[in-house]
Amino acid sequence: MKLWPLIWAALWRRPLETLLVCLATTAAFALLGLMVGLYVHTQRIVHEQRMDRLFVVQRFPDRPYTGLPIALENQIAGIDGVTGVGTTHNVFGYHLDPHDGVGVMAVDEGILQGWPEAPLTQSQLQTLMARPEGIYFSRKAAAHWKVKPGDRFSVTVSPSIRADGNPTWVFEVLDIVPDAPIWDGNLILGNYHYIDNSEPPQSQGLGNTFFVAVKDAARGHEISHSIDRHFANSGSPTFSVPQREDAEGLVNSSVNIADVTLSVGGAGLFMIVFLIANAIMRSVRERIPEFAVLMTVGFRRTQLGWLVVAEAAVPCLLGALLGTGVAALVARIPAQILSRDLRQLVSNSDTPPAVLGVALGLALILALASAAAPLQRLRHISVTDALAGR
Amino acid sequence: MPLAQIFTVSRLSLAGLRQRMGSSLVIVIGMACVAGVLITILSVTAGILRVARDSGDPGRALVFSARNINEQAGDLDQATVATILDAPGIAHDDRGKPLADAELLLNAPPADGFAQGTLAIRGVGPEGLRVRPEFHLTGGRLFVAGRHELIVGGSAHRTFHFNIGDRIIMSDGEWPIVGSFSGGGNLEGQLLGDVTTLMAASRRTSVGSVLVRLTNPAAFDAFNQWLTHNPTLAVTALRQRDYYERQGAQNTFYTTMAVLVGGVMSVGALFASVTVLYAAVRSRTREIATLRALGYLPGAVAASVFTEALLLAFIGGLGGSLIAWMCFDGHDSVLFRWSIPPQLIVLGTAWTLALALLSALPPALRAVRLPLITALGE
Repeated sequence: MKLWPLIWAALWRRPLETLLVCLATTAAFALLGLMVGLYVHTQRIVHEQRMDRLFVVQRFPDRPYTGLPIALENQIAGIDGVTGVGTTHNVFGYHLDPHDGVGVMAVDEGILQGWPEAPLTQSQLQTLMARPEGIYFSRKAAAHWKVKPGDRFSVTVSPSIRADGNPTWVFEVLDIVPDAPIWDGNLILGNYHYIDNSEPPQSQGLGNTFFVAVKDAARGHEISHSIDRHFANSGSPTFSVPQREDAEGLVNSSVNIADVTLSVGGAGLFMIVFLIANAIMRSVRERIPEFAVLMTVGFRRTQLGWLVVAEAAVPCLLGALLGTGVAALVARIPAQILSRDLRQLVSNSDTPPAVLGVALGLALILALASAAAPLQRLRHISVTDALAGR
Repeated sequence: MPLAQIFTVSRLSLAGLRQRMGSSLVIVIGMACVAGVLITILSVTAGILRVARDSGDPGRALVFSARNINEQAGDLDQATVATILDAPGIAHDDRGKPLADAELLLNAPPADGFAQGTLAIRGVGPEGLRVRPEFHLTGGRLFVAGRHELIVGGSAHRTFHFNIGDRIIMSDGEWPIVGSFSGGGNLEGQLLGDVTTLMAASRRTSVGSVLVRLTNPAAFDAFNQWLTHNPTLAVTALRQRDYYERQGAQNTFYTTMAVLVGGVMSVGALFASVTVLYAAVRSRTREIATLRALGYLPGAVAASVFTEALLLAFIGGLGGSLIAWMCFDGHDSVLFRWSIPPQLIVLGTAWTLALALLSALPPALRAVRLPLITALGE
């Protein structure tokens, strides 16, 4: 504590410079916070995907897209290790404005067996099956389209895929359900049979994706291969993949997101380490007579070393705190007011307390690295020469 | 303001850089980081746009179904294709055959090693390769029409490690890769096979697009007009380059990322530069005061601060850009090849120069406003 007035005096010798250094550090840590947040978000999304759930899709998609016969559900359920199967059928279109794209994931009665943590209770699922035109909105989706239970919601698919030629489905919002942890976006759940019955006979009885729950996550791969082997010579060959592997493949399909985010964050810190080292070095150089006086009155070199480290640590830690705070605030900007690309970048940035911990840890490392050269200089101070002004 | 004064004061300022090596490095490294990161991210967009540009030839046009302007749609039936081939403006070979090709683009069936939708197979007909003079076989042989055979593009080979002899599992069996090719643009990232055989394998009866070589680029208007005014057709024609450029332009994510990341980094670098330049002015206080006392104009002193900032930023910006170019230019991804054209290097350097101008302003003002008596006494 007795060093605190000295630290304060050192920082306040040139308040403008200290302020500028803090601002530069804040910018670097804000960038780091955003990038680490984006990385954490991506990793979280991947890791929340389960290895004990498989996605089964058509191996050779044809056009117009047909999907897998729903009859496969029972056969998949009979494969060793499979504990439940649910089917989804997706409809993509727009709501009122052709630029406002929307997708409805229509699910069947088995969905909670294949996707037990789906954001639906058993009774909500029963209600959905009893109310064919009903849909459930996730909170995110409800906020996006500003809907509440009881509202009507239209989805237009052009050109029409309905048997009667009408391009528009009109649904009724049954309730708002929690966001699904595995679904990183707006989720709308509908009734499979309602969608299926609306389609022409040749398109009926098909599912886009089977959600398959398996007993043992470690056997996810093996069961995937069993399913694919089982249907290899059938009229509907399948492609099965554990959910997590599927997510990993998609995340890194064009650019490795971890490489990009961590490199950018690292570059920001690299830029700052020289600035702080330079500022501390200059400060030490200019205060050599002051250090000599302190040593004369009994301060040990170790104490003065701590003084220099603290002088470097204060802007670093302050910058880390403020920068991470800025990143967290930016991540909370309402998604509606951001462009699509900014939404992907900013709203997908998680800043949990762990990010602050990482930032503070890095700030300390940064402070030590910045103080290394000034400490070296301090070690070689000759008290007599310094006092004599030589 | 006499140029001689600016020159003299700037020379003095630059001569002192050696004494301020450490602080000068802060600006150089800061600007290098800004330029390097900015143009590395922008190079993804540049790569995507380059692929789009290389894929398109103004002398070629693509015809799609009016409902789906998409090569993967598969909405053009054989009768429509036959009518399209009658359109004016299509070049013909020596035997009078139109240089046009009905093509199909499919997603390769997912397999271990690549996710669904990341690799495409293009079905081309007999004229498909003649329409594309940039196509060159680089290894093995061409696929034979009617056989289950594929050839692999250079970029797909490098990204997915497909080699001649490897087999792709399709709905009707295994299709061996019998050759490799270079074709420029997005063709490089695809597998090619016979369109008729691929249509049978994917149970399709229609194609996604018709690629035509025009007699000359100016013939497009007449070609397009004939197609759009033909009552038996419901098609859309686009110059091939326009189609791919439009697709490339839709991919704006990395440009936005570059603006956000570059913007935040620039703010950091700006504050860092101002700090360093303030310190530089402070260390030159007595020198500046002496010059002012000798009659040098305040503007000349300010110009010296700008000169120093611009020089350091130029070194940093150019250095950072060149490092990014050495590290990333030409690296492959299936969607694009990282591309750092000279324009990006100029942009990165120019951006750092603009930052330098902005950051030199407050220290230059301080240098100009130094009270002479106090400054001489320091």
